[in-house]
Amino acid sequence: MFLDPAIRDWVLFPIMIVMVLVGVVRHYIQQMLNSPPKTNVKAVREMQALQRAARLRTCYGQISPASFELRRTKLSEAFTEGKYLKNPASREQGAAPPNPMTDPQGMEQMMDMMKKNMAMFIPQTLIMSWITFFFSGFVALKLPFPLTLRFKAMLQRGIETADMDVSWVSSLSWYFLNLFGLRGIFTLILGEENGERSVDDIKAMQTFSPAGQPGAAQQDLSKMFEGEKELLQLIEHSWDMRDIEERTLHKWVLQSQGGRLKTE
Amino acid sequence: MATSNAPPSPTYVALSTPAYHEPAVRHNAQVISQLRSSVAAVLGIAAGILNLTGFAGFAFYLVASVLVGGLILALMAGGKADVYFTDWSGPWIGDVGGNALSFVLFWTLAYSVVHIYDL
Repeated sequence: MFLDPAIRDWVLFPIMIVMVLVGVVRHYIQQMLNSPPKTNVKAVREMQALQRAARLRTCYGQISPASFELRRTKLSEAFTEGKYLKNPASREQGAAPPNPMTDPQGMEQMMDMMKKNMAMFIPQTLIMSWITFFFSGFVALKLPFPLTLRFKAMLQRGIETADMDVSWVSSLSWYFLNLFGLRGIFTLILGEENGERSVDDIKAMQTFSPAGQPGAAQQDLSKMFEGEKELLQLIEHSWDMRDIEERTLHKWVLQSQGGRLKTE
Repeated sequence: MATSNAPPSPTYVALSTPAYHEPAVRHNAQVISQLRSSVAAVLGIAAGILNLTGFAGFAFYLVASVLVGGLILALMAGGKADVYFTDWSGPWIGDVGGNALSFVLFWTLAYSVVHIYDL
């Protein structure tokens, strides 16, 4: 069985070209809508303090024990007192976490997220209705791999042939292939930070990660400080430079003797 | 006599984890990801033209991707994976799964255009 080449010229290629072009346009629209995130000094300081503690925790081997102790004491003190918290008052109140709805920054984050989602969903819905309106009711291509009968209803919608193999599919399946397969191509033509990433953003939002959930990060920060403090206390310091003289000398002796230890 | 003048027994301290420059790690990941995207598209077109169907096509993608991973390691990283990548699997199979759908797209396209449509 062969297909009419007109289907290739007037269905397959147009859909692919339109989807690539729409992806490019959406990328630029999103860049236009993107407002730089507004932060204040205190919020930045809060995050930087956490990052500093994390850095100290991973790279402690590179500084001397004295310097490490000094930093550990300083940071632990600051964390206990809540010195770097954005609003230290919220810590005393304890049980009342700030409402993300009333926080102007959280509001802005949510607006940004909504704008991104709109820019994601509106063009996809439009293309999908365009395809179902114009290109339904015929077989457009054959998939090179077999599929189970379950996919027949989805991939052959509008084609009333009960016995045809499932790998012959309609143009809507070509749309879905493009939707998922072009993501890698967009990274090539638009660079790493393109709008296709927003699918990941949605996933992050659903899994309640502090980065994706607006407003969730604030209420946890004093607890994060506490946790970071405990992790710092647990570290048993060992310096990379310990016994460096002996190790260097030993290495030098080994080399000068052709890799063999001589005893006289 | 045997051990009196021997150098002091070395007390090798386990060094803390090697420090990677974060922007450099990100840049490497980006280079690999771009390379993987183009390789997935090219492999898809190749598989379609070669008339591979079903399991053979996916096996072709996996084997060829790992071969390309070996090329990345040999030519781009000079065989020293631990200098350029934070984990060993980065040059071998990194981004292969993520680009599988790109492969399927171009595979289907080339297969249909070359073998299915009437000329």
